[in-house]
Amino acid sequence: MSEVIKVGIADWKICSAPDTITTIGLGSCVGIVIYTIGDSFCGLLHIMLPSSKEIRNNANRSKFADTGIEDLVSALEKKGMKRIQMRAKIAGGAKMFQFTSKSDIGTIGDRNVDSVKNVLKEYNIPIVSEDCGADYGRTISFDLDTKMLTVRCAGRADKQI
Amino acid sequence: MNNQDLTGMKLDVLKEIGNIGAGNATTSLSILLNNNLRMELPIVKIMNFDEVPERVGGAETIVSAVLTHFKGDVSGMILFILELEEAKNLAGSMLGKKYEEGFIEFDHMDKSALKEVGNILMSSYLSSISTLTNLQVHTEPPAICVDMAGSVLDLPLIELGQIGDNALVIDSKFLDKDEPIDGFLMFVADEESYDKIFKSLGII
Repeated sequence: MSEVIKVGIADWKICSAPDTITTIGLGSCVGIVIYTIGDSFCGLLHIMLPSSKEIRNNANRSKFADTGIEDLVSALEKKGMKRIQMRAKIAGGAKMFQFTSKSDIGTIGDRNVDSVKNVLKEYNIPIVSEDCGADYGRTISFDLDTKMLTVRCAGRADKQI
Repeated sequence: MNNQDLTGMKLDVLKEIGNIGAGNATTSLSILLNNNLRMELPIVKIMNFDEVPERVGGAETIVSAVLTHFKGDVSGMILFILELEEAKNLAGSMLGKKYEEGFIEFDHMDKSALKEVGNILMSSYLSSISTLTNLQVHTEPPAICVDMAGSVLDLPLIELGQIGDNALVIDSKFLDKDEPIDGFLMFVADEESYDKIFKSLGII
């Protein structure tokens, strides 16, 4: 029996085949899947903010790109995944509301994506594919058999990346 | 702010502000809409942020959300949220239009209509806070987004994630002749703003 593992906002989970892993309704948040070609397990992280260093209230490490990726990578390594073989697929970072006034919060999606890319680069984990930015929400799910990430959006055709 | 912080007297005050705000909103709306729309007294409650998408039927439910930031003595944001079908009913009744079944892209006019209703409701609520407390509040232009509830709500969640974990939800029901339209306002302010509101009313 295979199950669908749901990852909530500011959380990460590890999933082993034949289960699939999903996170629902990414807006300006970013979803990051880390997997290898050989292993039959992967991790999915759903971050909200670019950096734990910019905010006082940073107890939940999965909220941030820097601490979230650090924790997920080390959990995957503990399960036997080799850092050098790790690959990533990412989605999200949209700009949901078009405000007329300029504010920091309007660019949070872009800043999340930039930060995720920088952190992954520090870990030497290549990004195989991505579906980021624009102005719509995304639900993503990862299939360990095909290593494909399915991106579902309201009123649009499903995408496989 | 913890759930425990908003109980008893404080919650009653916020509810009363909600009632007064709703009263003001009803008056403004009936003028705008030539009495086509009425509004019932709202139900005010505190919700954990994770529960808010559930209020509209789950994180993947398509909603229309109008969001306005407010600043001044108190600061935060207000959202006016409707499920897609309810949004179609409301915009339809304002513009004398019928929409197709299922997911649709609203055009500029539809969005303007929904934004305007949201703007009136949100401003009425804020101005009743301002009148009661003598605190200055001014709003920024609203923006609208129609998409999955989870993805629409993650921006407020990101802002709120820096200050707290729950929101004040004001459930409101409109009556369009005989058809009810079920929507709600969500008021999100930082702890300091709540303190100012209660202090100016002599509660703390």
